[in-house]
Amino acid sequence: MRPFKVIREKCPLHEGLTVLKFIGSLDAERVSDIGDQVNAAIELGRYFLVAEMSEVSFISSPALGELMGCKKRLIENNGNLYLVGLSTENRNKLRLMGVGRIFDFLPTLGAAVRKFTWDNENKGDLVRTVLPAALGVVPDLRYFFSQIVGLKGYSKRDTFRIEAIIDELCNNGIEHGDGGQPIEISCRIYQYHIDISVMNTRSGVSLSPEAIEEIRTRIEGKNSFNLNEKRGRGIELVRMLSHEFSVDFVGAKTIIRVIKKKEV
Amino acid sequence: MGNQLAITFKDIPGKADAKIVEFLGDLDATNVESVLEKIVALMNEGIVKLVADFEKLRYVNSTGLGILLHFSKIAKEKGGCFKIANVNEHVYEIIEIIGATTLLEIFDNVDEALSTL
Repeated sequence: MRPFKVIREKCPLHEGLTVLKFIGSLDAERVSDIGDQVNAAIELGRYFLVAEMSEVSFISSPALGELMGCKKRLIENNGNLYLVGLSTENRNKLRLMGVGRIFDFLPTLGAAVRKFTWDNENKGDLVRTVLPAALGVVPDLRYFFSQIVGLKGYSKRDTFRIEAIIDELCNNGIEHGDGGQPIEISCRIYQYHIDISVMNTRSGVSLSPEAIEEIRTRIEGKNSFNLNEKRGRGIELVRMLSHEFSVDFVGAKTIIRVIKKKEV
Repeated sequence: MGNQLAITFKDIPGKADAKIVEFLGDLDATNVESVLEKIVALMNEGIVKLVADFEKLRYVNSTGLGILLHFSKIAKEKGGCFKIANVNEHVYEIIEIIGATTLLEIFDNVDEALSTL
């Protein structure tokens, strides 16, 4: 067993984080060491800490209690404590103790950086794909996007709505695209909203002004919507599910952009 | 490729012109044609009163919704009806948002729908 040690250092991947690398066994007598390190970081104005635990052989209940107390102190300073690299045994033990609801268990330092930027820098996570103009691929694709959104903390209701938005926009893109041209979907997921763009491409030259006006009229609903009409329900549904809806034309491409805010 | 949707038919005792139709899966643009074929074929055989059990229907899109409205219309034209039961909250929300709740007969459960036949 390696002797106990704590190394405090700047995170090499992000200047906003400080890493506390713990080595050895976090026995009961290490409680003060843990607290001292966190307090020292706080005094330096470093409120976002990563507890790197890949070389920790054992975590005692008092040490765990101290880590929870440290997290609380950091949160009170608008910071956080991420646990990284826990062994399977330690992770399972902590989950059994119910600590999984309090801490984020992250596999690597990179994952902690991504979590930190997601929580604090509002840059969003981008998921982008290109699909062939075939209806058959849409179901799996819409489900894929909805599951990603769900993993990012959106409610079941929101994930269903996102699935519907993606579905309808893809179907619309395939139906009104230039047969065979792929559809591009871009979904940037922020903490409190999602920005979706679906683009279909026509081969050849840019659209004529008349064609643009016809598409704009159809998509932006300048004519009133009639539920009994066979066409237009999909776009109308997207409009109703979204907070912002717009259509743009870039060369031969038609881009529909939707913003959907998180349900609170 | 495409999304599999299974529909099964169940007889309703005492009602030769009616059936329960159970939907399992997602109803969308990839499978509406096959659903349309099966339901229209049934109606052409004289089964014009249908109760759609949506307990296992996970998802419906605007194309699927269109087909439901179509079933409702043609059933009425044939002197029958197309009722829907056990709609999950997410599917119901889609139906409600698009404004179709006034055009479809929706019930909390199959028994309630059957009682109106």
